[in-house]
Amino acid sequence: MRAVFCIALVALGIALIVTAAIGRRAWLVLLGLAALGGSYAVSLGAFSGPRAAVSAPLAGAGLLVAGECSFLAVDRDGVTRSQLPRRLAWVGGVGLGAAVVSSLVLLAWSARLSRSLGVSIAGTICVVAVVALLSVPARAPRADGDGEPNNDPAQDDANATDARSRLTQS
Amino acid sequence: MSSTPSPKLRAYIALAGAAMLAGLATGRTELVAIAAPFAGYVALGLVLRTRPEIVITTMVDRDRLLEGDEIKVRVELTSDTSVERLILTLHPAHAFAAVSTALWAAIRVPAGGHDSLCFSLRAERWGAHRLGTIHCRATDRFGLTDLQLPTQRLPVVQVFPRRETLHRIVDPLELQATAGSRVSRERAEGVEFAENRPFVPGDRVRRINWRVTARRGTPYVSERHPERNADVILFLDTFRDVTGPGGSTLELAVRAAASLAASYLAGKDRVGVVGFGGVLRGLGPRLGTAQLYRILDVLIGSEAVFSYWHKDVSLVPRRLLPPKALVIAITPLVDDRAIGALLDLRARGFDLTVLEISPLPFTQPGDTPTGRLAHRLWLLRRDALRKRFEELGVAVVQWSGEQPLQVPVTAQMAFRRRVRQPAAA
Repeated sequence: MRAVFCIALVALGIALIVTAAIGRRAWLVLLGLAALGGSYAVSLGAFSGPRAAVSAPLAGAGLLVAGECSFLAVDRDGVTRSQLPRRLAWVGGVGLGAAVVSSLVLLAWSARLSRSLGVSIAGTICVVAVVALLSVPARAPRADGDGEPNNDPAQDDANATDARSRLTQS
Repeated sequence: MSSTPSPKLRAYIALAGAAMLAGLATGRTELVAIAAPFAGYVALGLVLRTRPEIVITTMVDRDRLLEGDEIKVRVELTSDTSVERLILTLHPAHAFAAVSTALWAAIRVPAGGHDSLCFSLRAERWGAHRLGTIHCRATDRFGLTDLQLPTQRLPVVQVFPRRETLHRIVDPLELQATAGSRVSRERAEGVEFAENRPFVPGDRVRRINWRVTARRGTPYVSERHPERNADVILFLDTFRDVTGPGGSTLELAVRAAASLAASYLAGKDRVGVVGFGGVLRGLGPRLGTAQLYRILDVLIGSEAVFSYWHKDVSLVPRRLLPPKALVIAITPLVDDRAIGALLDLRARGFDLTVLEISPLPFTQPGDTPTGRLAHRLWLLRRDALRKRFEELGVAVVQWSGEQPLQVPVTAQMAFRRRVRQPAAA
């Protein structure tokens, strides 16, 4: 039953990511990655120990690579054919780095701190702090001027009218 | 310049947070290990992001062009810092269309680097238009933030209406006293032979035709037709503009006026223009290529301005309507004020001809029987109006833009050959 649920989640995740790439819907990528991560979380219940420890860096790197590829596909207009090899190399490097970071986290876990209420509270605070620290600079737009695009055709018409009136006066 | 978080940044933060919380809740470090790469990626991207210093310069290869011509927009980019991806999108104004090439480009600008892009646009409609705007979006190496650069506004260019070549044009009935390329009916110094007549005191000796004199035994002189030019006034009705999906009557009228002006000016005639409508605009008759561009400047500024004010030709300055001028009215014949002005011009003795810009392609009969009947009555009323003009010796020829302008002009010439204009009423 657990295996079926895992496979269903993986299929859902892949379907969402493919749909996002075809329809260029970035928010679907998030759902797809969440489904893939959820399937891994569900599968963790089936095994533990060294086997789980080995799988985590691979899963983390795989998810990040999947995310990078998905966003690359969603924003494919921004990448020309000549830039594609460079971007793919970047994605490969990111996957490698992700595996290393994930392994380092597991290595730190191997210190085996005693599980207590204080440690859980400290961990929760750390998680909230990390997410908040990442969110605050990302959310605040750096507005240094009028960077909004002018999508108003009426503005162009007004400019043209101004030009016409200048011509008339001359 | 403003930066906004990309969807990728939001997704990665959400995933990292969710995985960490799930790890805490379940006590599985593997979930935290999955979250760590996402959190690290975001943290590294935000720390290493740099503020690009990009200078964008836009240039166009010309500021005047004809309808249908292409104009090249060159975008020069200079950046002090490295920009991983710079996406430029050109949004052309409604009067321009892209020429085959895409109107966007994604490039990578190295630090201290320089790059340039070229876009091609085709002018679709005459007028003075801003070419459009260029939107620039820069993303960092990690793709976490989008930096929206200030929108670049392209310059205003003048699009002149495309002119048709007219091989034959309507000849004016009266010519002016100045030299030109039309053969006058008068007798004076010229090239074209008119007749021989007996010598009278006061005739110049050099005009004596010695062969005829020898044959007749008495002195004869040769009369010749002088070469003169004409004044042509293009009378543009701008009271109403009947618009439709494929254009408008004013668009066609301006095209016709430009073609006629170029043809008459090429024949060394003096051409002027009067825009008679809600706003009275005009240009006195003059010669030359410079006058053609002055006329085009007036024409591309033409627009129908709605007005209730009753106007007649007495408001038109006298210098814009010189005596003995050929007045070519270009009108859809839908406004009573314009029709009244044309009848008034004819009554004042002007040599008038009417090029009717047909509003029929832009109008549809109503769906109801009443609507269809009203449309038929309207058509009958227009026929009656044309007949009234023809009775006054004024040629009224329709043009809908589907056929060359030469066709209605030839029809006008045929009418004027067939019908002698009666004296002004």
